[in-house]
Amino acid sequence: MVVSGAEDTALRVLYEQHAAPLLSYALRLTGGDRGRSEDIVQETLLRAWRHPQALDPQRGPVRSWLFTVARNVAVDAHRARRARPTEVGDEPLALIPAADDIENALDSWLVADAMAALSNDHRAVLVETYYLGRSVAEAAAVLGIPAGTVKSRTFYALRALKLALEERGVTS
Amino acid sequence: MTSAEHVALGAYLLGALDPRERAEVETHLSSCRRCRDELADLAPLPGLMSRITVDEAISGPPPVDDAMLERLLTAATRERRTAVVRRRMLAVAAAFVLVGGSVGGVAVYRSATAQTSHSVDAAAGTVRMHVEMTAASNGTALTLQLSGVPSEEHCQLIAISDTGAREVAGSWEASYTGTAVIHGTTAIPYQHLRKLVIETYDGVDLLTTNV
Repeated sequence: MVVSGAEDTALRVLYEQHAAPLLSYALRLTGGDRGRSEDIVQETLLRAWRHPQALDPQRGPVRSWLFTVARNVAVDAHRARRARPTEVGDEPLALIPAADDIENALDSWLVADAMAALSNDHRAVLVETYYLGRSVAEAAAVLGIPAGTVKSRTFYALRALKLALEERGVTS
Repeated sequence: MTSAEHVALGAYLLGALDPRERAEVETHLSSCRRCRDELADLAPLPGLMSRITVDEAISGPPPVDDAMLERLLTAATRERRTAVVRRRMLAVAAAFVLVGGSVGGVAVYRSATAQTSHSVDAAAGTVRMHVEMTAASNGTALTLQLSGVPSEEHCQLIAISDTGAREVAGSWEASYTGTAVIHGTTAIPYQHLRKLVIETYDGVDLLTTNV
């Protein structure tokens, strides 16, 4: 037996729209445990699929709701594991990021996604100057390009990043 | 059109200019409105960029793969099949209720023949609950329809086995009005599940029912 056509499509659409940001968030919730994170994503999307009315944008931002569901799934799973003393190596519940961290987590994924949309050249200058804290002269040496190019490329990379974020609904 | 100072604004904003160049940009900013506007436009970016690590900046968000989608579709198929079985069981259970009746305000709708799924209705004070229990490979899946819990109340569902073992099967905050649907799971196997308790985080018992 297979899932009927329409429901199958609904689930695929949910997956395409939300699986990646949810996985990114779940990895934060589980401290990078890929297996547990995939379980959280699966359970979250199944709940959304069971309750399509909750996905109505009129009822609030869909992705925030999904992140809240994911966090609850993570907390439940954590408690269930803790109830079984044979399983070792569990972190305290307090390590699961607080619910009010959800907007930040949403932004994090959007920033990572926008960064991935930049050209390699643009991304490289931002990594060197911002993330690795290099000066224009140092970045020029590492990248093998003139200092003037580092400056102009940094400027245009920031403009491109701003545009990419705006396309993803992040406005400042 | 675009001056050298204008183009240097990006490196200035990210703190990559040396002190001499930084001073030059600052002098220029004091006399150039267009550059001040541009800087104000880009100013939120470093704060947003700080939300991700250097590794995430380089590699992008963690990728999802087709295998994950396949597992999801398989799980949905399994769930639909269970739902069909549950509907059949409920039909049997409904017939049984006509004979079984209710006990002390708590009606227990349990089919004599159902082995993998049944539901229970219970009420205490203003709190009313309808719960469906389904045998799952790793325990019991629970679907709760709940109403009458004071709003803002932080609640949890406790499952209790025939040996008295307690396990939290779900938790939620009652920020809704009216009826809420809550999904939970417990590692207690279906045939060993005996009681369900809804209580607040402070340990106040809102409802206890045999299942």
